[in-house]
Amino acid sequence: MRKVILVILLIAPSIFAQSELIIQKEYADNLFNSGQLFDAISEYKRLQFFDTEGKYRFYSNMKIGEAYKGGGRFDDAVTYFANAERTAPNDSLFFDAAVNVIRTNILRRTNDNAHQLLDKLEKDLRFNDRMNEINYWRGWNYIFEDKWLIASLVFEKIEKNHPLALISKQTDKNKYSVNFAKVISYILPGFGQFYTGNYLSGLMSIGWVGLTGYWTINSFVEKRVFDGLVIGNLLFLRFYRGNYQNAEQFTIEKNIEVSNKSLINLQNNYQGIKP
Amino acid sequence: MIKNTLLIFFTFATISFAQGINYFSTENRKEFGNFLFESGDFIRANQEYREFLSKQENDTIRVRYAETLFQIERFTEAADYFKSAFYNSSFEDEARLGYFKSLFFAGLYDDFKKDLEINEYISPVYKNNIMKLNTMTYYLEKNPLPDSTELLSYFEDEARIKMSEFYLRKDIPERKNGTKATLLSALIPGSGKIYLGEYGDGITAFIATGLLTFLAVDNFNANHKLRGAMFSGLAFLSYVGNIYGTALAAEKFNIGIKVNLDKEIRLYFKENNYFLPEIKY
Amino acid sequence: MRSVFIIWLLPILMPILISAQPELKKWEPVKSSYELKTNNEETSYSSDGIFTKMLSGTKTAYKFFISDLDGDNCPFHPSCSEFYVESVSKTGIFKGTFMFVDRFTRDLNFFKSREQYKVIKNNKFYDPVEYYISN
Repeated sequence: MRKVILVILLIAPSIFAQSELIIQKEYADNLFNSGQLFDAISEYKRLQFFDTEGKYRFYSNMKIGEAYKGGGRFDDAVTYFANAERTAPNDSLFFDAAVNVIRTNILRRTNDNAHQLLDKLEKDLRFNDRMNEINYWRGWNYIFEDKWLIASLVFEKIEKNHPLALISKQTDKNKYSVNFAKVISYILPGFGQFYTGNYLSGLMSIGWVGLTGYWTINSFVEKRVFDGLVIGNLLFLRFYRGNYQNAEQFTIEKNIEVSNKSLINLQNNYQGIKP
Repeated sequence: MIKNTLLIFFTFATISFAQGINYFSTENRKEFGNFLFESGDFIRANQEYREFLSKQENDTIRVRYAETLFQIERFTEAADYFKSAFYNSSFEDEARLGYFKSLFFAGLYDDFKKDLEINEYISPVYKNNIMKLNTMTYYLEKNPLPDSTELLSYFEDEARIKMSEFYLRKDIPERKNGTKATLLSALIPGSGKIYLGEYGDGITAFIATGLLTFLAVDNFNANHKLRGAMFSGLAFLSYVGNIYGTALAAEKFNIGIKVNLDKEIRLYFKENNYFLPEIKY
Repeated sequence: MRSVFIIWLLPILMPILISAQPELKKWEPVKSSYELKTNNEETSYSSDGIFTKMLSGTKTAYKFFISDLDGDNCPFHPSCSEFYVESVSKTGIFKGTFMFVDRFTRDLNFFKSREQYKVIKNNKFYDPVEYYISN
């Protein structure tokens, strides 16, 4: 009996020390969960400092990374997620940390970095069974690069009717073709603007191109060559060029609108895990 | 008996150990603060040191606290704390340098110069650095520069050459004469702009004014009174607009010289870390 | 004088301030937007004074009927019409008109150099009214 008590008392200090760490961890967690991210980082760092055995090293690195990410401080976030990668106790947690680095890169719009890191994970034989997750984040990366068609194809690798695949495909369908708008404007001035729904602008373009074109031709017909050249160059060509430039610009603007509509929808309504 | 003694010993040990682990104790705040300070997290080190100093006095922590304030760009507070470590501290010299560097970055150049006159404020160890900072204040100010001999005497080699080059450019800037440019443009349209180095603009202005004047004269000659009047108006606008534009361009040119030099000087100081030494508190 | 100076320095300082991102103050959580950025921006100016109002109306009409339809022709930012309205609103009808004439002459110049103007997005030469008025 006494021996048991002795043993308990012998290991008690370390147990107490552990319990102190647990209290500290919970304190930090509470701050984190209540949205006081700046202070949470201080307390996770304190936890890390006094945790001499490194029991919470990975956990606190991840949390600090998440807190920085929540503050929009992506550079610091990446630093701490990378620390977490380095201190990961096993492959599975390493993967989680690596995915967090990638998610932060997606959000920071350093999409090339994200692709490179995804390539690295894909080549790593340890993570062959987590290909779905890799594809999932690759899809998100393409979405943030505004490449919705490729994104949908990548999501389809996970599941034929993956909700993100459907959303991406629909977004791609809703987009306008820049080339079509330009070509149709070359042939039929004003129709590029009609295509994107800018009817007033299209009509006015038709008006100007028609009017100045008529003046130009009329000048040549009446043998006023100099007038014809001046009007043709300074007026007709100007409005003709403006017509297809506008068509191109409107398509680009409309496409950004289409993308943003989907992006806002994804950010606010998509239930799955997001960058 | 022995067992009993051991039992009592461990019981006490356990209790005292358990109570000893308080991460927020004064000592632990200091340790944690030092860790943060060394890892470059100055804003959090600042919090820990503040808590520590509210309970206990320590000269190292005092200067380190001042340094954290400096690093988070609260320069005037940093200056106050550095000043409080001027005496009876093992970092008296560092504190003095820190004080002047804080005043420098706070832009309080007048205070800087006033305190420079107080001899005991100047650390003999870092006198050279403080005097260099003093020289830099003159370079960043609007006022005319004082005599160069003293100003440059604290710099050596390359830095000295560079600083004297800046001195010359600041002292005698290669300004263009705005009145001269304007008068030139009034005599021959566009010539003022050419004087300012904007050849394209000058030639264009000359051609535009010339062409409009020619058209005005031509139309009057051909008895097209209305057209003649219209072109006269345009020619007049072009003529006066060019004169006014030349005056503005001259001013812009002269401000540009000043701004560019200022930019260059600031960049040079920054690249050389304001000639400050690396200090270990 | 000082305002001119600060305006010149801002573009140089901004990238440094943004990229360094040191923790100088306690910060709050933010919601990072997923949205793509658009290039659309309208310059705004206080439209006091009868001439400014008249010009602003003319400019709007010009923009609606002509400028929006004839393509991207002005190499400057702000464009000549914006420059005119702004210079008149800031210096009055006479000085403003002269400034505009000068700007228009510079626009006609084929040999605009990158040394003379700062190049901003869409390869426009940055040439705002503020560069020419010092107060």
